[in-house]
Amino acid sequence: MDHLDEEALTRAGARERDALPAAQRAHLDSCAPCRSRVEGNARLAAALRRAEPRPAVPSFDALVAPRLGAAPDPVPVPTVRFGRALRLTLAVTLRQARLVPRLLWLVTLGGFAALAVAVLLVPQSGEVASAYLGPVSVALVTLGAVAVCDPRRDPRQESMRAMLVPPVAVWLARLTFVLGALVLTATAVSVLAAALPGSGHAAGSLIGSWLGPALLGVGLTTFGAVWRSPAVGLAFGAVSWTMSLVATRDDLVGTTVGSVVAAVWTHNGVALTLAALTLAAAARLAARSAERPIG
Amino acid sequence: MRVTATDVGYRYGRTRALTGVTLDTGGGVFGLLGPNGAGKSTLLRLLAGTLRPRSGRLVVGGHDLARASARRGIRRLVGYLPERPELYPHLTVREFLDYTALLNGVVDARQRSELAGNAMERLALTLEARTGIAALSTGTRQRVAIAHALLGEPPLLVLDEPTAGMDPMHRHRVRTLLAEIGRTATVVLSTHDLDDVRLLCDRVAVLRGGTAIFVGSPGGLATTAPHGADLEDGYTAVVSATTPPAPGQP
Repeated sequence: MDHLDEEALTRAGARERDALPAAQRAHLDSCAPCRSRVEGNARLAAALRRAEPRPAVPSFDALVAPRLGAAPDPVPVPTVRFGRALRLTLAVTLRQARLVPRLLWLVTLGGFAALAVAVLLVPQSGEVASAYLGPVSVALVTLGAVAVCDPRRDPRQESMRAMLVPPVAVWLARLTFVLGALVLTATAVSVLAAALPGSGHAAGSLIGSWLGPALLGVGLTTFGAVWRSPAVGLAFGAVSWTMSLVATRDDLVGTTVGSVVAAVWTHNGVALTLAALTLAAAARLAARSAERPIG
Repeated sequence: MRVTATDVGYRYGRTRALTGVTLDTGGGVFGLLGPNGAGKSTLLRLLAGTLRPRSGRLVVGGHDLARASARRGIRRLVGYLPERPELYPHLTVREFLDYTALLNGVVDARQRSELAGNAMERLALTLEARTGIAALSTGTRQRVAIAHALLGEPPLLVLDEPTAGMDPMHRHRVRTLLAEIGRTATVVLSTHDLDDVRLLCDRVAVLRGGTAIFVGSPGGLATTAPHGADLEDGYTAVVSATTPPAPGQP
């Protein structure tokens, strides 16, 4: 083999001998003139390294400090006018139909449809309505709150935080949409049950059999889900639904306990106030958690 | 859009994540390098307005992010790709980008469709438009997340490891796209891939232990190597030469 070329000699002298092709390394082992030139190059490189000061990492603080004072005008932030904000709110709210689990709609609308069919077909529709409308409606509306808090579709995810519509607004839109749809459906079934001949119930009293406990269940579920986790929210919802059942059934726990529970878990001022407070607390926590550090 | 940080610090509870970071991104593409846990993602979260700086001064596009109103404002101006983007798995790519455009304030359905179509084209996602996100590979999801970040052409793009998990062909495509965007907007990205810095970045900072230990050009970083001008050697020299503060200490 010929002697090594200049590039190979330079690389070998600059501590890159191992990067040379095997044939060149083998030649170097057997060729004294080439080895001598490599050693000369290595000595030269070492001398240059000693003579050349090592580049210092520049002090960027010192470099930029004089310029930091002269801040440019702020880049204008996009604003949303009232009309567009309304349209945007409506569009975001309606879009939540696609963002919640499809199973929610199947279960809740199926459940209400089954209830409506039972009310229509059973001769004693009044008894069906008074026995089942409350528990079923409370359960289905509370289930809606659980679906709103599904972590896989959470609008507070980090990638959704840098948007024009803040995550908490999306969360509230979803809660409003889902609850609105379910409460309207439950109301429609209640009105239908009351309108049937021989029902013996006014629409108002049938709606009152579930509205307060359902809203309290929603408040407790969302609060638990946002405060701790969706599982905690689900547990709160289950407890609330059980309490609403106990409140209407003295035979389950006795009159004393039943009346105490009924003071909260029936359609009354206490239930509605607690529902409003727990929903407000959940919304506040949702707003704070969208600002919470991740990781 | 210019980003200037002066002595910026941040803590997660008692754990220090950033200490006295001072840098100026200028325009173009700015890269953040550093070992795992160096504070890159935290700095990017601060830039995106999703965290509040605990100390120092962070000014993005003239907005001082110490103020909550400024952080709210900057979130409208920035396209943000977090380290672990969580996309809605039950939506298709087109549905997700359409929804993103809606959350960015685009009410008109046709305009949203155009924006989503354009973003998919730029990220080579047109064939996956009707595919559910749950069915996509990691690299393809990453491209969807980038498309999500650059919808509406924000003046500042904050990208946490944008080319992670991508095959070489798509990595090249994303780099070309980011270089193109960097000509008109500011792109701040973190990466472990020195080729990203070599091929993309106008300026680069190296973080270690929550502190910026080098800020300058990629060429400048390369020349910090004892011998030669290799970026990898320069990065290694800078990271190993500096004794960082003990990580995670309050």
